[in-house]
Amino acid sequence: MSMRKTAEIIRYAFVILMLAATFYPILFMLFTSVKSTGSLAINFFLPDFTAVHFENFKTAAPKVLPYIGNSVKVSLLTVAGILFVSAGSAYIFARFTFPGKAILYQLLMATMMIPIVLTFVPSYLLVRDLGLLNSHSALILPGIAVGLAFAMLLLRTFFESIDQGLIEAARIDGAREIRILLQLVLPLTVPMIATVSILSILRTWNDFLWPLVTISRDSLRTLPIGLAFLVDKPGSNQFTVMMAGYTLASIPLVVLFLFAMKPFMDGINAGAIKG
Amino acid sequence: MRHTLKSVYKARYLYLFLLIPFAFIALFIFYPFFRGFQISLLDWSGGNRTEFVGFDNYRELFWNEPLLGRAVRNILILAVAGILQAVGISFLMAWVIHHIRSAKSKYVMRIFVIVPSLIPAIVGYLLWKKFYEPEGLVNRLLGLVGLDFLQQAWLGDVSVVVTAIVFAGFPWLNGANTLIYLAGFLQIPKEMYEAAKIDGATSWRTLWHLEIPMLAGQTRILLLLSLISLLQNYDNVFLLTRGGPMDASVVPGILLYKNAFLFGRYGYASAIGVSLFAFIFILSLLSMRLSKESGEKVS
Repeated sequence: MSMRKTAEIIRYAFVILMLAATFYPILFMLFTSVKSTGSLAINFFLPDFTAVHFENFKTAAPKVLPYIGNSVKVSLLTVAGILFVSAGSAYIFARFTFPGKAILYQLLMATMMIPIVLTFVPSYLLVRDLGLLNSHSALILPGIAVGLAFAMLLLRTFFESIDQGLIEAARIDGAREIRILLQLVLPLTVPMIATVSILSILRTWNDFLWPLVTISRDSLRTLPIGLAFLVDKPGSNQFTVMMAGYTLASIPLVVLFLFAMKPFMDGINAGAIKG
Repeated sequence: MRHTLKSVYKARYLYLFLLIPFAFIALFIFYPFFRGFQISLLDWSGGNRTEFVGFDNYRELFWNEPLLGRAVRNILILAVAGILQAVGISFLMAWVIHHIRSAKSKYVMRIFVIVPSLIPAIVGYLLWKKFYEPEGLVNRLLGLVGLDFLQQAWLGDVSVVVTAIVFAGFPWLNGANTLIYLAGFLQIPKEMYEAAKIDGATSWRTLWHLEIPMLAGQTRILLLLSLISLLQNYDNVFLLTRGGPMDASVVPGILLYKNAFLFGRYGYASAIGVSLFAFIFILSLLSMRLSKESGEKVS
């Protein structure tokens, strides 16, 4: 009995240590963002609640917020595009049979096997020749293309797992295909859509090298690029101010997750990735 | 024939919709894919003047590129370490959490596991870059525990820079992968655990003979995806060192980036891209074949 207890304690200790080591840098960022430079010099490792110094945020906000705005715009449009195109196509592949279906699907899935390194330079030249450099379309349109296959894979698997009897019953009742899709299938799909959206947003939100080469105008830069160049901006090379900037940059996804957590967890548990 | 035509006609609206995804992937994936091969045979700096040079770019890359050996060595080190981090740590974490008894603790832990992955990756890298500075967190921490002799300019020293890049992000908790494994653990039938218990199997035996084989599917996918993404990855290297100091931490991606966007050598950069693609492709095939064989052995 006592051995079982020891094992349980070791398990808790392991998880807590892992989480502590993971969260410390994040907490470090948070409490340093409200320190003054003087307080940082005296007390580097621990929070200092005696003198909360919000000025850092005042300095950082005007520098970081425009990048957050750009990232929100690019991510939302990319994910909306991915969802619209992939949900429609996944539904077609899951529900209908038509000539060439297998080959067309394989072609779409094959795009997942093409690594970005190979397409990086030619894609850049393509976007340049299309006159899209220094525009958000340079990020959104290729972003949709790259994200399609994975979203389609998850959604098709999910659509196929929906009880067919339910759909047949609706059809016998005379419901049209589009109504079945909107009123029956779509509500059931919410967790999977949340999962696909969050995974797609994470990818778009973190994308670094592609926006780095396609966007050089500062006012159009997305968050990762903006942050990487933050050091060069006057007034923000102070350590505490940078931490305030990083903190601001971290807020949007955390907020999004608070709203989407439940369906996202359900989607992952529904076996989004089974192997 | 007539029948096929008829069913094609019947499905005309479906094809019409599918035109949208195909337009996207044709323009932004397949076209650049083939173009990459073509450009790699050119001497081209992006302007109007191009010259077909056959395999000269490849010859230069494999015979005359002074940084090739180091780039390959570095990416292999980073990829192996990265796989252990992304797959090994995630499995370990999921295994430990799965066996914790309180359902409530498990639920809370799952949330805490996913939250750090919401912090933008770039913030993580930039934080670690700060931590590695001579007056940064790592050196201060070493001083605090009396290991002063280990203090150094982590990203500025040729001999430790790659180790420092591997170590960045410690303890490498990967939220998404851990959740994928956790979901896999939940799918193992209760009866199998009970049978193992009745047989008197220890946790180690259960792990080795039941859990690892039952999660082989997840492991296979995560291994393959990590391998593909790690071999072409250079975000972290770019942000931490840009390949420096003195090219000590160069990886193929950095080589490609510099040749294309600093030196304007699109042909040569494309040759690097094609070679890297071939390398990734062969390794993926190998790993798929290997994991398939081991999968068959288990079942």
